[in-house]
Amino acid sequence: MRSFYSLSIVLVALLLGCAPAVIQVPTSAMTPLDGKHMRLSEMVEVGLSTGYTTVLKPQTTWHLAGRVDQGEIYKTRDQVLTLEGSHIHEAYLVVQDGYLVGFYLPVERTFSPLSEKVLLPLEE
Amino acid sequence: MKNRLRVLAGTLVALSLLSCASGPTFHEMSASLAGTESGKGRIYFYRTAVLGAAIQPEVRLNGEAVGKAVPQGFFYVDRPPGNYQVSTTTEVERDLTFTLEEGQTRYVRLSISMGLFVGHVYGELVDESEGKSEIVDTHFIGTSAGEV
Repeated sequence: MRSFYSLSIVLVALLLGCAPAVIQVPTSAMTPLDGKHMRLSEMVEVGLSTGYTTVLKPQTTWHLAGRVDQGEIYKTRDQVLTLEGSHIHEAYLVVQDGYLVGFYLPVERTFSPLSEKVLLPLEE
Repeated sequence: MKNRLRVLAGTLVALSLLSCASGPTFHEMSASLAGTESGKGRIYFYRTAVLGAAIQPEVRLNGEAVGKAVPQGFFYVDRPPGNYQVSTTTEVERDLTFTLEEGQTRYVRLSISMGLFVGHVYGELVDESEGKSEIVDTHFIGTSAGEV
């Protein structure tokens, strides 16, 4: 039912040419960090408030790139990660205590929160 | 009536084919393509879809015209590391923002979505593996910056 609702939003938005914008809130300046990484054991499909979804592929390695107020920022070269809405933005993961809490948009330097945090399936 | 429909369909197909790119394919050019300029990264733009062939908007990178979204065509630019915004001159603006690092290659697929009255062309950032496989059979169309 929920996927039908999301699909309907996307279809109507595409026809009207006006999908909702990706939610962005100001955040602290990113403090660069490195030295840590994590590897996903399974695919993660994340629903966005725009009605679109974004996918984190399995067996992708994400490297710590920095920190903002909302958590640690991880990026990867194993896949492209974008958030779709009225515009499309490249994004990095923002992780707190093993949960994905949102995304960092490196061009806009803003934080895009998730309505519900998502537990990341990590390889041991 | 049937004949008229056939003529109309044939004309539409011919017009679609005439609207497509016709230069050498990426596959044919790949051996002779210049390497990425020192200190820069490369951005490939390509459009595989023939749907909406008549819609060929200008492609802008940070506001600068760099090429056109020609069906089955590709072009590329080398740019310094930094933040980039891709936009097209269709009636509905759907921008793409991404970063480019030194020595990095980015692939931007120019996709089309159908609106109520006309189609809209917009850029999508795709994985390198996906970009490499999709761009192979597209044809080089040059860029407005004159880079070859």
